[in-house]
Amino acid sequence: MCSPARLRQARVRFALASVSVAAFLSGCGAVDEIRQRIAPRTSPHAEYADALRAAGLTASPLAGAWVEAASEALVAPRKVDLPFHDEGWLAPDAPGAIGVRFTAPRARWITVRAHLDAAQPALVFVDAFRSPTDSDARFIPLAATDSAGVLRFRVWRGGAVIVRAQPELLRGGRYELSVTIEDERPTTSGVEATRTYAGAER
Amino acid sequence: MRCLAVTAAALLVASCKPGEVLEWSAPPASAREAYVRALEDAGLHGTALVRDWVAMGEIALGQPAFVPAAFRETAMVGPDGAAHAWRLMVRRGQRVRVSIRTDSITRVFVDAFELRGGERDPTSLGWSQPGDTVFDVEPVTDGDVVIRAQPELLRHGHFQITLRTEPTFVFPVSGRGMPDVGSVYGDPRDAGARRHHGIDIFAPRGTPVIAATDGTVSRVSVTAVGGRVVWLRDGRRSQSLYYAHLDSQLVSRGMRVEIGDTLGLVGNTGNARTTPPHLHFGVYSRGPVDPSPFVRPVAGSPPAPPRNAALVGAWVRTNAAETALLEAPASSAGVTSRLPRSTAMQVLGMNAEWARVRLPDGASGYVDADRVEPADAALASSVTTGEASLRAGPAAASEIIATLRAGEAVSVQGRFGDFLLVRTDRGQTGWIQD
Repeated sequence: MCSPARLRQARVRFALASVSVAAFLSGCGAVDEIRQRIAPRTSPHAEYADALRAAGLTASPLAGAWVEAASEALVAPRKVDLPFHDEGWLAPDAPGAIGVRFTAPRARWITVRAHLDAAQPALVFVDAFRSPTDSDARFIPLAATDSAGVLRFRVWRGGAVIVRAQPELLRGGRYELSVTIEDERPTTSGVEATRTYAGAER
Repeated sequence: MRCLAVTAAALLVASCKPGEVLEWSAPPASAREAYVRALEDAGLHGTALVRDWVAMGEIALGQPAFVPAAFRETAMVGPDGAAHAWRLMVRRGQRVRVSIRTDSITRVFVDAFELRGGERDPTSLGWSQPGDTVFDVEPVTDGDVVIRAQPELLRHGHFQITLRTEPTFVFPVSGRGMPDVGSVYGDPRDAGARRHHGIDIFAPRGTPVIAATDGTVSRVSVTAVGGRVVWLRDGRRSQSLYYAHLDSQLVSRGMRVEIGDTLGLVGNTGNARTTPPHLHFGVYSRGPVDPSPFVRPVAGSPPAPPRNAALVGAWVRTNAAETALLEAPASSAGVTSRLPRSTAMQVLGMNAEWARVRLPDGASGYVDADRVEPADAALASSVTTGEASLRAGPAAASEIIATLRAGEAVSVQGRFGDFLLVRTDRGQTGWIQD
């Protein structure tokens, strides 16, 4: 149970994160137009991008390509039907991201499983967004994690969802990504979303 | 340095009254450490970026390339912060002048170590400051010095490093040099009862004797053995320089002098009355030290820049029937292995004659620069006879990038062991079993 003071603190942190994300996005051209449409909620992915900017690394071509790949995965996701399973290769030295768009049925739990067979330990950012609609151009964050594992969320009203999976810079390898619909709230153990959002649909 | 800091802290604590606030400042971090701290403070703690960068620096430090006293190399700047290290033998009294040439935006962190306590325990000799293009390294004992250079993260390209081993002093007699040294350190004296604790530099009477380094005149006196003598304190290195048998002394105690200032004139006073005029030059630091390395020029000059710096960072392959992988950039160096024709490897650095390379299995060394060619031009075209796994490395356990269909065309760029380095028509590069 959050106290009012804690809630206020959380809101302030939220606002600060939004400002920093916006600042990071400014100056990246068309990519940013998309990024700016992401609702101002932070995630491990956004924090990582923010850290790159704070460390002065975003001017480098490789970090630029990483940001570009992240945006591309959102703006041009592959349209898939559920259940979905994909395997492939992400080169460690050429940043890439996987983006898939699907229709989530109303009030059903969605399970995203992401696995990266990397030679060394790697952060893998998995983010789920409600896809922009005619009436709301924002990418509404639904859930996010920074460890390859299982991400679970549900969309009460149903609708189009985009899931993005992207390893941190300098990491890649053989990946597997699957998205499935659960009949009920899953009872199996697994890593749930490390972050779901206040106000996110339940 | 750390001991000094701890001692200083202990003294500070001892001098504090109860209730006083103790102000403690940590020992200064190297530019490299400060860079890592800045990355972590920015929120990148525990990320691959920081972990790889730190690890690469440590690996490089443990596997330095043996190089001669004068050396130049164009080295790779890779996005993961590829680190480089070179090892050279340096005597007390010599310094290594490290010069770095880079593009204006890429910072290269240079730090130096002395392998005094053994190969596994390098002792820091210092580090360059941000923006430094020249950095002097002076060991305090004879031994091996390792120079490590690591560019900042996420940059591409190359930088040039030049290492020059030099004497730390100028020659102490104007217009003279090592050929004028008539007696060296350690020569027997008094029928072997004692050893010569300096070098004798012969020159005509009245030749100026000069300050071999910046310092303060600590004593000007006349003694039975040395005759007219001058002592110059080299405070920066905690040692004293001894000039003896002078015909005349032209400085007084307490005078601050700079390199090249005249201290006196060559003569044969003291116990040198029966010999031709000469300067007895000695260096003392808790006892006598051989002054020769302090003043003897080091033979050789750094090689010319590489003919083809564009190969730095690129994949190449050997173009001779057999190419020796050497421990050092010299024909006489030990041979690590002999590489068959078309062996693929990455160029980490290059000078006029030698390419420093890393093989796909991680082994590194030097190969003759004329015996490698760019791997991007196809060696041959081939078609897979059956389904084949395109792997990230030349090993059966290496990750599979893609599965190639039977009959798929690939261009072969090199080989390593049983594997071929190929590029597919889809633009993927990887290894397939031959």
